Amino acid sequence: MKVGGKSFVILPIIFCIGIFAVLYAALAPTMAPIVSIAGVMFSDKEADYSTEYKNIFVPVSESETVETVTNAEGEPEVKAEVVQYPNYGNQFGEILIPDCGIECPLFMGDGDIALSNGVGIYYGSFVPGYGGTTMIAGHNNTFFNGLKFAAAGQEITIRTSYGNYRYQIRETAVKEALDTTAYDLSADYDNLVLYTCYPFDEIGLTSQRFFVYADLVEGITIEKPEEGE
Amino acid sequence: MNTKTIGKRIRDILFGVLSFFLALFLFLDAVCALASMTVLNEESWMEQMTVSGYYSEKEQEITKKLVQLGNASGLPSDFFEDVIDPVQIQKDMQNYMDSYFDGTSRILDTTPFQQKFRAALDRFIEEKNAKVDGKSVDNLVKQAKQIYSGNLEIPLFIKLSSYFQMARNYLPYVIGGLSLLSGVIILVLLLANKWRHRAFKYYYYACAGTGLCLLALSVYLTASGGLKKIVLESKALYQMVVSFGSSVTVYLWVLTAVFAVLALSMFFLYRTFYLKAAGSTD
Repeated sequence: MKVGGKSFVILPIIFCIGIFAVLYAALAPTMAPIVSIAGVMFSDKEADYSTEYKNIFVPVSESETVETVTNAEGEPEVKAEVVQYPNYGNQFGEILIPDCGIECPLFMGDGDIALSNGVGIYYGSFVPGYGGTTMIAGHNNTFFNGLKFAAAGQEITIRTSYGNYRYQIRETAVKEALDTTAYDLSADYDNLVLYTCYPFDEIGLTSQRFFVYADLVEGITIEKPEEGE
Repeated sequence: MNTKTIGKRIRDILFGVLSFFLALFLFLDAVCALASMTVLNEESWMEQMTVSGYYSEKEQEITKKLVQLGNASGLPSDFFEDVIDPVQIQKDMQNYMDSYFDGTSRILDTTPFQQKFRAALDRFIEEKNAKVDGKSVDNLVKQAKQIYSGNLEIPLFIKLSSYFQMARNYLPYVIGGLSLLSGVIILVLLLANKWRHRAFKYYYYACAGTGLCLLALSVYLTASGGLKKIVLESKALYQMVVSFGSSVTVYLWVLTAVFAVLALSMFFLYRTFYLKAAGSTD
C-alpha cells in the first residue's frame, strides 16, 4: 500500500518559504535599519591583523637621475608618473640627521605601526618635493631622541624613491602640544617641520613639543597636474 | 461537490494552517532557545573567551598599546613585562561580564591595574632617579587606564545593553508562550482528528517545515563563513566572535538534525497508524 505522497515533500517546502515570508514581513520594517548598520561592520574579505607594513622605498643614488619634465619656468620637475605616492602606513623613504645620530625609516602617516618602526609624516601635510610643509613626528625616547642635539645650520636628508632632499635647520623651539601656530601647513614652499615630545628624558605624558624647522636647500620638485585636470 | 467533500476540504485547510503555525512557533522557539543558550548566556561567553585564547591575545594587545604609550612617555618596552597580568585580565573580564549580565554596572573596574601600574612606575622613577612632573605622570596613568579599560570593554556593549537586558528578561516568557501555543496546537490536532494518522501527518509537516528553515539558516551561515568578515579592531575579540559564530552554527546544525529526526519519527508514526487504520477498515 502506498503511503505518503507529493504533499509530504511540497508542503514542508511551502511551510519553510511561508515562515521566512512571514518573519520578513513582520520584522523588515524594524530590522532593516539595524541590518543596514550591521552591514557596515562587515567587509568583503577576512580581517588581516598583520603588523607588517609595506615598504615602497627604493633608494635613488646621488649619481642616478629620475625622469623629469621641464616646467613653464624652465626648471626640471620629477615626472608625475614616476612618483609612487605612498598609502597610509607605507614606508616610502628614510631620514638622516648625522649631527643628531638619526637615521631611520620614514612612513606616510603617524600611526602606531609607523612610530614603532620609524618616524611618520603627519597625514595632513605633504611629501617632500610637493611644494608644501612636510611635518614629521617621532617618539622622543626612540627614533627622535637625537633631536635633543639639533641646532641651526645642521643638515637633514630625506631619501625617497623619486629623489633625495636636503634641508638645513633654521631654528628649534619648544611649544605647547595644542599650539596650532607652531607650524604652518598652508605654506606654499617646500619646508620641513620635525616634532617630538618634550622634555626628552622626562617620564610621563608631557604637554610640550620640541619643534625643528628646516628649509629645503636641494631637491627636485614634483610635477603637479594642471588646474582643471 | 457534496457537503462532506467541502467539509473535508475546509478541515484540511484549517489543519494545514494550524500545522503551519505550529512550524512557525517551533522555529521561533528553537531560535529563541538557541539565543538564550548562547548569545544571552554569560557562561557561553566566558567559555568562548577561554576556547579562543582571548585572554592571552588581549594581554599581547594591551601590552603593545602600552609599549607605544611608553614610547611617548620615556618608558622602555621591558617596563610593561610585569605590569600586565593575564590572570588579572581574566578576573576583570569576569567581573565586567557578571555586572553586565546582572544589569547592574557596565563600567570596567580598573583599580587593580591602576594600582599595579602606579606602583611599578614609582619603583622605576626611584630606581632611575628620573625627571618627573606630577601632572605628566598623572596624565600617563590616566592614559594607561583608558588603554586598559578601552581594550577590555566590548564595543557597542553599552549601547546595546538596554536591548540586551530586555531580551534576557522577556525571552523566557516568549519561549514559554511559544511552547504553550505549540502545545495547544498539538492537542487540537490530536483531539480534532478521529484518525490518529492524520494528526501525525500534520505534526510531520510542521517538524519538516521547521527542519527545512533551520537547514536553510545552517547552510547560509556555513556557506557565508559565519562572522569571519566582521571588522573589529581587536584580534582577540575577532577570534572570540568567529569562534562564537562557529559554535552557534554547529548548534543550528544539531537543531536541524533534531527536527529531521522528529519529522522522520512523525512520518513513521503516521505510516504505522495509517496502515493500522487502513487494515481495520478493510
